[in-house]
Amino acid sequence: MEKRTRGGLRSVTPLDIILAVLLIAGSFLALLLPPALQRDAPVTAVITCGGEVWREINLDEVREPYELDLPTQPEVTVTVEPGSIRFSRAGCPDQLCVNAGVLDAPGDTAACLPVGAVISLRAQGRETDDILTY
Amino acid sequence: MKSSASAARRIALTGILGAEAIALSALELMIPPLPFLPPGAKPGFANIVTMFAAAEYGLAGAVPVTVLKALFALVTRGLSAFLMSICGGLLSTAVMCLCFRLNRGALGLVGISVLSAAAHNLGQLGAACLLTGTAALYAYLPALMLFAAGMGLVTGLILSAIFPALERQKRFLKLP
Repeated sequence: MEKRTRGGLRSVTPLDIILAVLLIAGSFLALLLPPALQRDAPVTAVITCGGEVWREINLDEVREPYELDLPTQPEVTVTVEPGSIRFSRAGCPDQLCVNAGVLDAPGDTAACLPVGAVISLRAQGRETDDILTY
Repeated sequence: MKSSASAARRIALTGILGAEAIALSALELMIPPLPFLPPGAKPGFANIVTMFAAAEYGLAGAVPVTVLKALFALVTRGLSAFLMSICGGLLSTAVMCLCFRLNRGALGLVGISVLSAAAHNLGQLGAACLLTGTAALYAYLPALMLFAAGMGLVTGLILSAIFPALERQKRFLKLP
C-alpha cells in the first residue's frame, strides 16, 4: 500500500538534500574559521544592559576573580575571572544564561533575555563584535 | 447548518492540533541543555504539527496552532519566552505556507521542514536581539543554522512517517 503524503509531496527530494548540506557546510565553516584565526587574541568582554553598553572588561588584565551585580530586575550576577567571564546567578526562571557556562574565546556570547543583559567577547583591536566579516 | 457544523469541526481540529503542539513543546522543555548547543535551543517537535496544519489548511490552519503554542510559553515562562515563540513561530509558519503554496515538487517535506526550522531560529534570534538591544547575539547564528538543518531533517522525516496518523484525526472528526 502506497503511503500518500499531502498533495503527492515526497518525503525527501534532491533539492532537500542540497539545502541541508549547504546549510550544514556553511554553518561549520562559519563556526570553525573565526575562532581558529583568533584563538590566542587578547579578549574584551562587553556587558550590555537594556540596549546600552554597561561595562567593557579586558579579561587579560584581570588578576583576581570578582563579581558584578547588574543593575537589573530580577538580579543577575556576573563573575569575572582572569581570561574568562560568566553569568553566575540570575533571578529568572529559565537560567539559560547561567547554563551557558564560561565564556573565554572571541565570539562567545551569553544572554539573559528577561532582563535584557548580554555578555559578548571580542578580540581586542576589532571595532565591533562582528566575527562573521569576510 | 451544514457549514457551521463543519466550521465547528475545523475549530475542534485546530484545538486538537494546538494541544498536540503544546504537549510536544512542553515535553522538549524537559530535555536538559546540551553544552555544545546555544542554551534554549530545542528540537522543535511541535513543528511537525504546525507543518501538518499548514499542509492541510494553509495559514488559516497553521497560525492558530502557532499562537496557541506561543500563549503556552507566555503563561508558563513569561513575556520574553512569548516574544521568542511568536516571532520564530510566525516567521516559520509564513515560510512553510509559502513553500506549500509555491512548491511544484522540487521540495519535499524534509526540505520544507529544514527551511521552516531555519526561519524559526532566525525569527527567535531577531526577537532576542530586540529584547537585548544588541546585535551581538548573531554570534549564535552558525550554531543555530546547523541545528536547524539537523532537526529540520529529523522533524521532516517524522512528519512524513506519521502523516497518515495525523490525517486520521480529520476523518475521526468527519472532515474531508
